[in-house]
Amino acid sequence: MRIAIAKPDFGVVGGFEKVMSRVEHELSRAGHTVTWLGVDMEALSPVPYGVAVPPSLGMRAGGFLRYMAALEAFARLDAGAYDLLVTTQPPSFAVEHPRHLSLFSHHQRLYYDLCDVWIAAGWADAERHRHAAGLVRRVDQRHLSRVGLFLAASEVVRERLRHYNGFEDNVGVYLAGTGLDETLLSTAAPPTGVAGHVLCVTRQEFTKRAELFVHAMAYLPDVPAKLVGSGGRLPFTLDLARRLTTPGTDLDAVEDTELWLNRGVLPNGVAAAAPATGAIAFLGQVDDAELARLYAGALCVVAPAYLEDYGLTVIEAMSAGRPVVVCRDGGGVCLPVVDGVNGFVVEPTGRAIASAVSRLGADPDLARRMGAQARETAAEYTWERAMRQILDGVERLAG
Amino acid sequence: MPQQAAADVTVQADLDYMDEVASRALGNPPAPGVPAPPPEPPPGAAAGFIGRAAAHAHMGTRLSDVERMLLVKRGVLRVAHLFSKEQVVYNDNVLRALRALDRRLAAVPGLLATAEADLGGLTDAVDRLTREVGDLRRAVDEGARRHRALAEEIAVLRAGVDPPRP
Repeated sequence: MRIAIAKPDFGVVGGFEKVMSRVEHELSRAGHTVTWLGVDMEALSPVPYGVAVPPSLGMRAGGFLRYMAALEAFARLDAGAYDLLVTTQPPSFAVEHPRHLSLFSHHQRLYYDLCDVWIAAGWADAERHRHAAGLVRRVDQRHLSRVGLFLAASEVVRERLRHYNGFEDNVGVYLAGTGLDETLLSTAAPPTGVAGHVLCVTRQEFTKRAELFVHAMAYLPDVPAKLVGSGGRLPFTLDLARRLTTPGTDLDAVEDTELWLNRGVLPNGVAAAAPATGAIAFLGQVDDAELARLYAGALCVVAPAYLEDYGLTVIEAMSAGRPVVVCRDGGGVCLPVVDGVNGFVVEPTGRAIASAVSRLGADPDLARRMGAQARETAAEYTWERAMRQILDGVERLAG
Repeated sequence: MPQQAAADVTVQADLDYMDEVASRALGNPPAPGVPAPPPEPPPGAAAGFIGRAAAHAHMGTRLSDVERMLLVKRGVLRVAHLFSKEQVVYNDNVLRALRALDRRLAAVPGLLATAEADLGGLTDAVDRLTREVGDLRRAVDEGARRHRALAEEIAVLRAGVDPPRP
């Protein structure tokens, strides 16, 4: 079959991009001809649906206008030359096709489940943002109701489709394998000379909550900690690490919600300073082989994010046989974790994370047992199974 | 309260535009009553407005010698001067303030471009620094590994040497 995959082009390669290139590879292996239909998200129309809005509105409702412009761009794509359409991130589902499979990663979440925290963090004023959310949901519903079959990225995403859209009968789930090569994860040797570091792998963006990891590790100054990933909040996180490791800081007086529920902007005149020696090592982006080595040498992996769709890094950590520490409001990152068996599910605070890390550090047998359990859990999250689910969906639609 | 009312109008105008975008996205035809966006003054337009205001800042207190009914107008102005003299000073100062603000505003795009470039440079520097720290840590690890290997080798060599005789 000729299959088109529609996807917004953000100019970055994140977890989902890795998932989709795997999907493309597997569909090609199954004998299909795959073509990408992209929309450049940096080149959207400033006049969505022909409405000439005042340029200053972009300052107050820019996200809404950009989303609508993207929706219009996808709605205009012609997928008629293909036998089947696969859509991905929002709003690629606006492309129309009689055989439409949506690999539904998430809604445009700032207008759905993240609407309130978006306002609380100061990203938008409440009245305009709530109004925008209502409009986006109505417009989305029109396009989503034309999708033939959804494969949600996790049970959490499936529940959102039920809650916000009322879809149940035509919604399945596919669970992606790791973004890293499984062989790499199972065979990587830990870094030499460094044993038992605590690892956090995350983009430094809003709701990823690297700040909680920084807070947690400030309680444990003698435990080596490594933070992999970059992003817009990196200067803020660096500065936070410096502030929290300053002698005399009362870590218990720090309000965790205030650490992350903000725009991550340093006060005027404050330059980001690297934390003191001995604190967290900020490694930035690393290649896959290095990441696999870091997983292999970790005492445990902390995934502190808020309301995630899915937990690719958690699955990767578990595949490497490492216990994980997640927060109870972590959404998809919590799904594979059984508290006390293959990791810990804790309150979203630095203190609670530090406590879980300490337990593992103080009891190597417990860490080993949990790591072994984690590896067993991760064995269920294979690309083989994910592709079977996706190919089943393709066949079901192809009829 | 007038300020509150003005703020409400701005919000409502924004919501109206957003409604129109969404309405068209839902397949509806353009609404007839949608206002065209207010024209945005072109860059540098403020200087023109200020120049026009400056031409009237003296409030008609300057009369040319060829004015009709010059003597009558001078008499009226002399009376009016009692009230207008403060206003002219006020006007002059407002104009000076506006000119100063306009000059500052004209510098903003350049400052923004510099700030963006600085931010890009800072991000690059942070990335470079984190990479270098990573390299350094790996080098230290490797050094520690070699040190251990050397120590083991020395221990083996020592074990092979006969103990000194008393």
